[in-house]
Amino acid sequence: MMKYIYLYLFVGLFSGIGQLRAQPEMDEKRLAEFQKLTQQRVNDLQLYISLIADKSLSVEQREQAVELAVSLFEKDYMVNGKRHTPYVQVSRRSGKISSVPVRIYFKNLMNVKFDKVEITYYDAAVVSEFEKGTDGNYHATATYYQQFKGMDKQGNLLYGSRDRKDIRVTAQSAAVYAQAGKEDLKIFFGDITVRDTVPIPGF
Amino acid sequence: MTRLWLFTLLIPFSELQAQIAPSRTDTTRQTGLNKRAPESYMRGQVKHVSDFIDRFNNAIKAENGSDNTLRMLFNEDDPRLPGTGRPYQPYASRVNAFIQSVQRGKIMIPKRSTMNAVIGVTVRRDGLPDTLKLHLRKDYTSDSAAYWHIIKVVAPRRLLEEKGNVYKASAPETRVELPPNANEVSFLPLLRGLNDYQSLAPFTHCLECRDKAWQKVENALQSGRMTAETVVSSKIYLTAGDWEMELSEFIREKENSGWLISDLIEKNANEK
Amino acid sequence: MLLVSPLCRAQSFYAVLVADTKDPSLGASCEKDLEEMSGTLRNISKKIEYNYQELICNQDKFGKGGIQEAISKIQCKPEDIIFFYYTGHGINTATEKSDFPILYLKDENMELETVHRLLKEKKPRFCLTMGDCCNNLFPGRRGMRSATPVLKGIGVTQDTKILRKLFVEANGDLLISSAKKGERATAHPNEGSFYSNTWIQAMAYAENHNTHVSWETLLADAENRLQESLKSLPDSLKHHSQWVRSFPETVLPCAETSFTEINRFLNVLADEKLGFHERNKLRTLGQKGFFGPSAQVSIYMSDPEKPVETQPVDLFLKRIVNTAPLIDEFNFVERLSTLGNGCTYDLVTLQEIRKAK
Repeated sequence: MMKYIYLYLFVGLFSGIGQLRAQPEMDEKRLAEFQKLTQQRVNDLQLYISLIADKSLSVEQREQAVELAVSLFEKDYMVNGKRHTPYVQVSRRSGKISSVPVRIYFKNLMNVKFDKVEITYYDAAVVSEFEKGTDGNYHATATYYQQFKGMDKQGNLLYGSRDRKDIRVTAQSAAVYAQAGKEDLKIFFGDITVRDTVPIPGF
Repeated sequence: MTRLWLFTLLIPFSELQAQIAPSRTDTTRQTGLNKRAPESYMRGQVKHVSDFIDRFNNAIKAENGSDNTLRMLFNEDDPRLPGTGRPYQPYASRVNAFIQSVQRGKIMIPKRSTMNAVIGVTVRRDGLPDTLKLHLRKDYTSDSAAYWHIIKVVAPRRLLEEKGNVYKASAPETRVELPPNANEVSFLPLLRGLNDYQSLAPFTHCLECRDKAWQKVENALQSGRMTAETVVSSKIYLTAGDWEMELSEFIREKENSGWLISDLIEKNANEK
Repeated sequence: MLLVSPLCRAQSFYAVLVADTKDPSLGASCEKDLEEMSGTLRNISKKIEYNYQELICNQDKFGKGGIQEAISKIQCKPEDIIFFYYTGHGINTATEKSDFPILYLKDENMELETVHRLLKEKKPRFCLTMGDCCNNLFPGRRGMRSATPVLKGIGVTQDTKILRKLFVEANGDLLISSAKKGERATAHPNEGSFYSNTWIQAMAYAENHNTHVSWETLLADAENRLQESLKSLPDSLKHHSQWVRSFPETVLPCAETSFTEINRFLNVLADEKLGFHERNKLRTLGQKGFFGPSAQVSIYMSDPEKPVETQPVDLFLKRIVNTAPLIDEFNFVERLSTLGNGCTYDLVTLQEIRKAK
């Protein structure tokens, strides 16, 4: 009899642990709050990119903007012995496709060859609904549009493009937060795809 | 500790004068973010497959005008569709039949809909460029969690034609379920996963899917002879009643853009 | 119109509300002020279990005659509260001794300080007199703005501790005006006066978010919020509230890191009119002063008990310095924040309000 009791306790204990690790069930209202937060973080990213590219600002401010932009993205982790890091993949209408790690992308933005950079955003950023994945997290896609102009000292346009950017957003559930009873999901940005729509008019 | 807000008193304020305050107008922010009103195509563009499904279903639910709304979900530049200077094509009849059928039957696409995808991946094999086609499916678990996985491989012709034994290379036991929105970012998670694992196995869950073509590609990946470079094409397949819609992504500056129907297949049609 | 509830033996909360609702430029705004203040005071008196007695002087009763008639109707007992509120035009003169405004009434003007004195003569336990009007040196149009009004409204909490501290435990009197001498107050054409709105908002947040509050910290918070709402105006058009109290300031634990100070600090960091370097310097100083070394910041959208994000304070403060153009204001929730050793916070819960599009 005693060994059956121990068996039940054993099973009960492990099913309890299974419960702790289970994905928190999110109701629609709560997911909508995370959607709104993601929208804010997309606006933040847009602002950071503008600050990073603005050569009239101090190096200190631009470096701080790089640090903040990077902090929005998921941390690197190891997969099969290799470091997995979020990437930006840029596809141009010319057919050229290139991809770099997000950190390198922001650092490159600080050192673009143009004397002046002007970045404009359109008030059309959209975050899809969060969808449950099998990894214990929720997933959404944030989409926004950006116009980029690179100019020389005289203000002559050297390069221009209007792009659409799609960012994979993960709302990661974390046992730490669930334990504290305060926060159950944390938003991270992941891979970004950039596709140009057409070169800017007149260019 | 000194009251820190006192630092704000370092900023000089001018002598206060009694004046009428002007009304505030919307101004572009002085620092940081330049924001502009959206172009019309940005609003109209079908940005995500979930957006397509919503528009489709709303059109079905609508009392009036759903015909036009459904037609707007097709690629208007498709030469097979009616247009100025375009000869009539049988595809146009198929589209009409489809629209009538889904409207009559009030057929909607379930929000959590199984869907298929076919993607084209440029690879480098033995230093030479080639193209690999992968078929994927989005499935749901019993608790409504979604994931993509590979169900079929169409190997590059030259690889298929290679003579040599097809042996089962030892595949890692890891099972990877691609995130439900992988299709919205050109299946980048799969692309990077192929390079992380140098294997199709973690993404191919059904053993029957591991046919000869699959094995050839798997061997090439595992041996390092083949590396995946970019996803160059992506089509999504959604079912509505007896019809299968092929969606392609049209990135262009017109309202008719984003995920649109690029082809229609009637599933039970008899071939003549 | 005068509304007088039947007098009864329970302690009373007399609310004398005077509003220039017939004025062609201010009328609609004053109407809104009257509605909001009446609702707020009625709610407060209900929560502290006082018998609410409202005397309204608007429309044809707006004027010195109406005010004197209202005051004469107050039959005050020693444990009663009197709350006088004025919204309308106001002026001051170079020869006027008082720093507080003169109420610009239709029949005969009255000094706000005179009204306050008349009410104190009724010997209530607590008397509060508030004038939301211009205090400038010549009559003219009150500043109107078509800006987004601040959030307002008393919260739904059942906790009456804060209100009791402010209204029931208070002994003495308080005189408040929304503009200092020489300044002009501002109002939204339809949404009410700016200071009245921020005063009501400060009251609501004190009730919902604080454990420690005093009139001094509440009025300082209202003043902070007023400056936040006026920050896009040129300095020449800004105004500042002022107040005089007859009772000593309540000693609060950790006064230097009170919610008012933290709100002010955060709002300064997010004020894009100040330069990045200034704010960055303030950030590093303030972080050490207000927060523990591994402090966390929890941000909520609508329910403070359910934050959407928690991040280290270092990252949070850097973020608000850089995203200042996107931020409208912060609301620090003292009751859900944790003080560590040495009067610095280890956990801060706050609401971040973004600018509307």
